[in-house]
Amino acid sequence: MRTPQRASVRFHLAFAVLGVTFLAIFSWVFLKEYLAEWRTTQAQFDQLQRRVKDPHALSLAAPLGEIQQIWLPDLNRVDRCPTCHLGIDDPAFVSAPEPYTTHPGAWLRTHAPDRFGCTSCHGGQGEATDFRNAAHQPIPYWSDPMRSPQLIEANCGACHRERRPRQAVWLEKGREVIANAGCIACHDIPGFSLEELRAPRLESVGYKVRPEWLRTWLADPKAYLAQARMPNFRLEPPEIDSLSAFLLAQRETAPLDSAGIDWSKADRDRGRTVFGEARCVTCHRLEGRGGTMGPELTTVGSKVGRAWLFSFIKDPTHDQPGTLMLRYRFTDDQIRDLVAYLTEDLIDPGAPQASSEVRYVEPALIERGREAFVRHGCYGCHRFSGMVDLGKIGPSLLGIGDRAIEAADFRNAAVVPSRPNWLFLKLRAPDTLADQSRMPTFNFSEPDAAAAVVALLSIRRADLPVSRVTDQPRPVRYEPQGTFGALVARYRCLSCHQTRGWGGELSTVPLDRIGSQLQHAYLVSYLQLPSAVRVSLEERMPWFRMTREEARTLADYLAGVFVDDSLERPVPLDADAARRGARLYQTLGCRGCHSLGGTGGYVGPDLSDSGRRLKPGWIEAWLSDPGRWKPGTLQPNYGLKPEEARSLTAYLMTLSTDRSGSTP
Amino acid sequence: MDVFGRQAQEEGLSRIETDGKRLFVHYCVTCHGETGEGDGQNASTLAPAPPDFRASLPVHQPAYWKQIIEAGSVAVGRSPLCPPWGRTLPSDDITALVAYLGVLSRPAGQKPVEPAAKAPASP
Amino acid sequence: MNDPTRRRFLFSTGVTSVVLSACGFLGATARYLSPNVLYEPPHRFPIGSPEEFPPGTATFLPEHRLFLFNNPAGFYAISSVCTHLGCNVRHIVGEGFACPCHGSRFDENGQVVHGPAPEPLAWFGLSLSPRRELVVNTRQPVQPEYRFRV
Repeated sequence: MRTPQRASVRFHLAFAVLGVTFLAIFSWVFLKEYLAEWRTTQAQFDQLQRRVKDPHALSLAAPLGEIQQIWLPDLNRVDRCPTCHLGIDDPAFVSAPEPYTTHPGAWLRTHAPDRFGCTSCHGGQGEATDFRNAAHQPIPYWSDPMRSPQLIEANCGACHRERRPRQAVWLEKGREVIANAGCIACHDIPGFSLEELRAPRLESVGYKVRPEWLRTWLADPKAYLAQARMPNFRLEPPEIDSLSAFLLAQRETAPLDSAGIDWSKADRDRGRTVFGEARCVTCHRLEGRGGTMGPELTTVGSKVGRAWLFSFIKDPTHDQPGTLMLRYRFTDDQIRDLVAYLTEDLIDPGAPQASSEVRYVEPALIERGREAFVRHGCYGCHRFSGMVDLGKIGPSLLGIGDRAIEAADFRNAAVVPSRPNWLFLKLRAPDTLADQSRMPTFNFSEPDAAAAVVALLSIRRADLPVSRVTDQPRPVRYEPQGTFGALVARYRCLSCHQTRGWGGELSTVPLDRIGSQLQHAYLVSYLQLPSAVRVSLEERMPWFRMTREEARTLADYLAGVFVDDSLERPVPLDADAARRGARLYQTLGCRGCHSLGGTGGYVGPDLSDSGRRLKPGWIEAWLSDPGRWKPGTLQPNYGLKPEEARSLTAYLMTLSTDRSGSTP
Repeated sequence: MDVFGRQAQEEGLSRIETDGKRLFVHYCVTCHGETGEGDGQNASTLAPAPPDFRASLPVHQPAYWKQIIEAGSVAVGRSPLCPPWGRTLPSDDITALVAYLGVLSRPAGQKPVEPAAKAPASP
Repeated sequence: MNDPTRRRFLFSTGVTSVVLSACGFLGATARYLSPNVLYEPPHRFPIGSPEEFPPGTATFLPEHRLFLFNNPAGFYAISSVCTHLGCNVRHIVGEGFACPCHGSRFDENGQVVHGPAPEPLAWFGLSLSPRRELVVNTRQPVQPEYRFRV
């Protein structure tokens, strides 16, 4: 009897333990459900809103006790963030602690949460309803954690694909870094085009550069020029030998004949004067000053040969058909003096001397150089006849912002393994992340590399609905024909000026309505001899030395075609109005930025000659709303009444250097 | 190490301050100078000259700075030489500029305060 | 404690736990049938600021399938989904609603005037978001006297 009883006790014990275990499990399930993080968060918010809100506002508040979600099928997103971020769109919670606080800034006005959700901008896992799983903080190897404030603009860029998105400074800077570095030469990058590259053609480079310079340049472009756009390809000496042999053998187009030039008569001082008068510094940098559109010239004498330079200044398009450089109307003597100044004064005394010995160059060396040229993808930037369809050397960057981080090799770099960190390291030092990386070293500064990472992360897989994407219209190439077109091509107006969005960005004056802004007679004289309208600017219109005939042709066309009818309206210009305008000129403080007869500020154009320079309809329209004509202008909108704008116009139209006797 | 965390520390400016700096460089430095010392390239032509922000900013509240930016220096009874930007710049830009003035008004080397505008990140 | 008492105690503990667990299991299963949230359009959604709906007008919001009325007495929202087979009804000023599919008619309050629709049109509750937007709640049925004042 005892044994069955023992067994029975054991049986009862097991039964009880099992039952209690079951009970514990189910209690745990219910506790987990009803003490979920989001429920306690909502309970705390309820207490908070009872303190913050009045009874009426409380009665309108969203009901608690349920999961709030934003469902965006077109973005394939479900964001349950509002479950806990309950005060996000309510200004009453501006000083409440996280997660209840109000969203800063005006972002929710422009990006309504019910249309954009939360993770579109912030990243993270929208489905989660607890802090950890929502990926608020970076978790190693987590595919899409919440963006830190430094990286959040990458998500702006997924939709905002214009080159200069408003209010996204790092994204804008990053896109500029990518464009300037010429990444597009080797990688397909959505939003960037090969047309932006401005590297010289090399089919005739053998005539152009000095062999010693070429070797220094290939070894490290930044050693010759700190702002060099060409990156360092980490070439070994044998490669430098073969590449320079290959390049020096490129002699497709011989320079224009300068055999008749008597170099002994060259006057370097006269050349310096020509250099200054022509305003070469508008595009070329010299000892730290000047523009950056053209190559820097501080030591150009150690870089290029005399005969080539003579030919290039005489006709830049002779061997560089797409150059931005204009063709001045210099005499041969002027060019001779200029070349003498450039090649004899602007030299690097430390540069290696030319060796006089003539060396035999093996054809095999040249062939190896050609192979190196192709291997390093040089043809990506330097368009080379015979290498047009070789394809890009690097992988496409489409979707680089989504690429799985598991596939990235960090080579034991001591960083958090995240996509931004890998890109940052790759940009800064490509050779540390892969042996034999063909990507050159750009020597990006840390801020530049960080900005470029933001821009790269914004390049997602192209699966966004078109309605979500904003972009700027791509400008259409503008190539005028005829006499006018030939002059525009010769003087390269569109290297600096823009019309219909096409052209360079150096000039502050787009040409679209120039004929309605400036008087015809002024245009003719200005084109022949540009006088300084903004004396503080380094980058000013060059002195082309164009003929009166050419200037008239250009001015006629501009006055006839580049007009805006809304500006061609009469403005009553009576003496009374002009007097009132003169008083306004003083009380508004115009003199702070504009100068008149030699006194006043340098920010805006000199107004001393505005009566002979500007058209009254334009002045009035400009004063009424400057930002409408030129976004980002330094001329603020003063909110002038129409009568005031007319008075100021009448006053400005009385100003002329002829009468006052002073010159601008 | 997270390079972006370090990056943020080194730059020392929040997002809104960076935006403000960009605007300051574009619209203001020509008179007020890079560091707000009143030594911009146009400053010498101005009478009265622009103030040295390091001394003049801490005297007033950000609301006063904002008033000058929006309505011009004439609005607070000074010369008309600093123009009104209220009709030109959107209010977000002016907020950003005021935030950057906050940076300029801090003595050099002082650690920046945690910016007001930050992403709702942690509870 | 002798054996029979211990056995009885263990037995009753076991039975109680098992019964409670079974109830819990049934409860959890029942709970499982009504999930916290589904992948579906929200039942509370903003439709714009009150100023976007001028007084005395009826605005059809096709993406939400409802009419928003702004009367002197206040705002109210009526579903545009016909209770017969779910077509969008048309609003005829002064008459009510007409369904183009099978000819159902409703009066201005959405009550059935003429079949085949079996039920009146649904009315939805309104509220105002902190950003001063009208918010419709399709899970808050209201009576035809309902008016929402801003």
